Amino acid sequence: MTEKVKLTWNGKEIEAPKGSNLLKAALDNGIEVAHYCYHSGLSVAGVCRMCMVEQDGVPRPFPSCNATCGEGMVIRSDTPKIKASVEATLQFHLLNHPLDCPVCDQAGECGLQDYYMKHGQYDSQMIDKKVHKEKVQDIGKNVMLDAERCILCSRCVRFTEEITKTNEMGILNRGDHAEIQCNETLKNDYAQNLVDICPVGALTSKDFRFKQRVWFLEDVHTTCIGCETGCSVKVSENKNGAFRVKPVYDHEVNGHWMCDDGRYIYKHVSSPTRLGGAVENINGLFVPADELNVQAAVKGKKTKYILSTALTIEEYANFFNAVKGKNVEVALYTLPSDGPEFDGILRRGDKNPNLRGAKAAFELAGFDHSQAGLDNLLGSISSSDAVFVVVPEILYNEDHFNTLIKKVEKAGVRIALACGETLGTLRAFNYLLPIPAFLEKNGEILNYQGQARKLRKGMTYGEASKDVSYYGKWVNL
Amino acid sequence: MDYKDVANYKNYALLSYHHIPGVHNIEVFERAGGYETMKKCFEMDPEAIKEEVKQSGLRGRGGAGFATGVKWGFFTKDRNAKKYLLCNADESEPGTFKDRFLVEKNPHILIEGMIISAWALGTQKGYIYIRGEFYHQAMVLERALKEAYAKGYLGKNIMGKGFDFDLYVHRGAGAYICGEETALISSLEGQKGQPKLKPPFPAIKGYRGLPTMVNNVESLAAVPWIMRHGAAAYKQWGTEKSPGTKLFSISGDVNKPGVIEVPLSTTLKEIIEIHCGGMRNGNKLKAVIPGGSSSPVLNADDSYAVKMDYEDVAAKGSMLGSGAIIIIDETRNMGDILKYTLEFYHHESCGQCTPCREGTGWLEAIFKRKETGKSSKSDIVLLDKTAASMRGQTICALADAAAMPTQGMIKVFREELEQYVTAAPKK
Amino acid sequence: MGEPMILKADLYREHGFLKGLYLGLKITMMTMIRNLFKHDRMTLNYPEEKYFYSDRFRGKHVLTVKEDGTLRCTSCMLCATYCPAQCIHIVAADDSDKSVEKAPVSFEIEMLRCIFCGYCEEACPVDAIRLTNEYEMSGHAEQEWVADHYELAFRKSLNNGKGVVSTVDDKDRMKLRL
Repeated sequence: MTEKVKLTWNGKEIEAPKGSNLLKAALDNGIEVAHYCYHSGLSVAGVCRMCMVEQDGVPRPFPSCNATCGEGMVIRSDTPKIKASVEATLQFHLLNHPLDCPVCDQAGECGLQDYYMKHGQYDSQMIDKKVHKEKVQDIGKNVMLDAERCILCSRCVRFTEEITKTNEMGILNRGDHAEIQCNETLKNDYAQNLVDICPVGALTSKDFRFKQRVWFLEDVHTTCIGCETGCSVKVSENKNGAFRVKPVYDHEVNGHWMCDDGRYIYKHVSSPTRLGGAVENINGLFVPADELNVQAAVKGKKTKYILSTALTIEEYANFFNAVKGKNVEVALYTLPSDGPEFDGILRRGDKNPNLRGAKAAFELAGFDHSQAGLDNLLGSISSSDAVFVVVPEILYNEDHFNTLIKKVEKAGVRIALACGETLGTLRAFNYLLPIPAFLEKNGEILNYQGQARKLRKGMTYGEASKDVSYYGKWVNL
Repeated sequence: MDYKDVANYKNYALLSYHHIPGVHNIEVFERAGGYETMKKCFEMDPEAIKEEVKQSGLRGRGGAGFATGVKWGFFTKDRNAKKYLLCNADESEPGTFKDRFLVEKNPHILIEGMIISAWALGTQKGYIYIRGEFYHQAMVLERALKEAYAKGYLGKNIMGKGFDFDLYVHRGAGAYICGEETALISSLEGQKGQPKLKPPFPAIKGYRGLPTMVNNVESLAAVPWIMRHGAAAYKQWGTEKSPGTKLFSISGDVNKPGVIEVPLSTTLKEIIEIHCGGMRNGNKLKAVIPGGSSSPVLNADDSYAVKMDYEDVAAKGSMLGSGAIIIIDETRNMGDILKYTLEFYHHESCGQCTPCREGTGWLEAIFKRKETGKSSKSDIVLLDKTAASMRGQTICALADAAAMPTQGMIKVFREELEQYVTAAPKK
Repeated sequence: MGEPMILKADLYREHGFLKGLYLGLKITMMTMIRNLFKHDRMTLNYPEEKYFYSDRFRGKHVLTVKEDGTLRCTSCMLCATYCPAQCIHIVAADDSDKSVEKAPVSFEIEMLRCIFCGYCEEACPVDAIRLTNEYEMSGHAEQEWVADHYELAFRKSLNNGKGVVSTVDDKDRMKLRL
């Protein structure tokens, strides 16, 4: 526990750890201070000059981002002098900024817009020619750069310098011709974070580009199911679908960032080719089917279940409650490792988001979750069996999954429970049944630390209201 | 300055060797008494040297005028810790050419000063960061360093005291901003020449993250004289708060422009009329920029009244800066001078802090609006307001350096500037 | 037309119903006689005769075009945001011209939902949408009431299908610093 100090900010008493960043202390205590270049996950640059404050006993205003908290400091950011300075500095920021708001994806969550409404000098005095720089540059990894919109806060430069240590971004030239440039293309796996930390629309996501205006979107705070790290994320969605994934600060797991793979976990949720209802495979053609038909097909067969590791603890528990005491075989399919175990930042090779939760649930219910258990089940499949396979929600390794499907082919009735866009790989199944995607259910998963991470329900896009436990009731019909 | 006239100033501190022909050779320099002070200092306690410099009241000659002895006092006292002594010879302020003259004719006085300072501060390595354009001067320094190394004044175990000091010359790449000490350090580290946030100050965390002392050429070159004659002797010149002598680089409309060394607190009238031989062609004095292009302009009355020391120039609303006196006679248009000043600062802004990056460009754009036919008298009001909002907003003083002359010029020559901006553009 | 037409209880009581009948017939006859000789009546023989509303009338929308014939709309979606009836649907995409950057691939207005309030016109930052004085709209099926951008910009009634060029051109906009 670090020592706490008390200081006064605009007459309000706040408490902060001694020696911590002054600006962060204010922001943590709900005091609004205009700032662009400061980011609590990065080093201090002190170049935007927006966060100037006055302190009693200090002759000149200074940027609060480069100051530390001390006992009894009296800070003011609402004096006429500071207000004038913020106004003037914002004017300088906007001086050469193009009026791109109508075509800029950042509009609606743009730092310049926000502060302009608060600190703007609405009467423009700029009648001179603006400085023009290169627009619409694709710098790789689904990131678009518009040098003209950039306010040179250098957050992206510091990110590639300090977090990924790949140093792709840099500021070239000097004075008002200085511009952000990328050395060839982005090469790191965290490139989309640049879009998040850019306070203006200079760096935008190509994936999200022009899809929606941000004010049409609502955020659902949930957890990434891309790998076992379990980063805290928010998914922006509206009635037309889910559109993007952004990280949410969580100091225990992911800090401020998330990896690029996690950015695309939303894609299957509102995909037009997603499974809407029960589907029957008739000679390779998928036709809508009635659930009762599926039930009839299962009837009299011995049911076996192969679960995936992307279900919530609640789903496992409900499933095992449903099959409790019945003659049923259950095994767990785990995806193989993809890449190195840990890349040093966030990304983990183990792509089974709730492996720990699944194992715990299997053990509690007395089933074998090991690879041997799965092999046993696969080995014992005969034509009098009905096998339910829960398709992993994010299928990184289709080839590996296909080998599983091959082994299931002996079964009389093969049923896939899927929520992704995996129709191509599922031709070997007789029936496909929808289950809810991660964005359509409440629940918890256990990440690599064994920490419970919450999944939260957003909208429901398909008819996927029935989860695995519902199909668990079809045992030995 | 006429080279023969240097002899007149041999009694002063910095140029006391300049009259000797061939003084850039170490033999000549030593015959004239050079490096003796250094030898004497190696017998002294480093703290005593620091104390002596502090007593002398020597103020940093780079422009800010912060007392050198006090600055040294902030430096770490741990003699074993790795630390650096940097000499700022990146003299780029328009109108300033004193260090160039000093180093070109007598590089050894600087080297001697640096060795004494290094001994006092306990630094193991030193760099002379010299302006990129000063190729000749850098070569002179390199040659002088070789001579000093050959004599054993530099290198390992100097004078048998077990003290190592290596000195290098580093040529800059031609950016004005690298004269700012943290930008100089960035440039020396191989990074883009941009000032760093303070705190931490270079004395705590400077070159390569280690304690670094950055001093101006003139400050370091004054150290041998102070150590030789004592602080009291140095204080015979100047005032209580601004003691000693100062090099002034005088340019503009006088008969004999050049570098002179005079005691601080000499009147500008004396400098113009005696040392510079009066105004060129007998023209009337219009204005004086007393401390390089970044200092506010003084009108003719103030110019004749002002004494050239830190306090009196400040009292007249300007600053002594690096001692670059630019003398402007009645034939000059102040608008042209401001235009060139603004162009210079626009070109030299490093682009880090927003007020400076955008502000310097805009000041120039506003002032040049007549070229696009959009100018009006109120542009001067906007210019003043914009300059005011740039002041005190940035990491380094470049924004101030652009804003101060603008505001100063508007204050003194408002009507002339109003006429200038509204005049029809030259075809 | 002089006296009030409302029959009041005390009027009956005083004069009986005949007076009211007389008043009504008088007006009818007078109008008839006047119409026989004078032609200043309000009623038009629509559709042979048509009324021309002022340009400020809020009728069917038009999407203006640039001088090169492409849509002015940058698909900023401000009209769709302001629209109280939520009847504007825009799908945006990259434009091959880097200076344009963003352009609509589809712009649809559900005419049946539109309340012709003119907010879209007000919200537009680039003068891309306007309401015209066209008021004749008809259709048989609901689908016919969804106007796509071909109809909105290039229908026959607008400059013979060539589109309406916005009076504020890009160059002028730069000059006006819009």
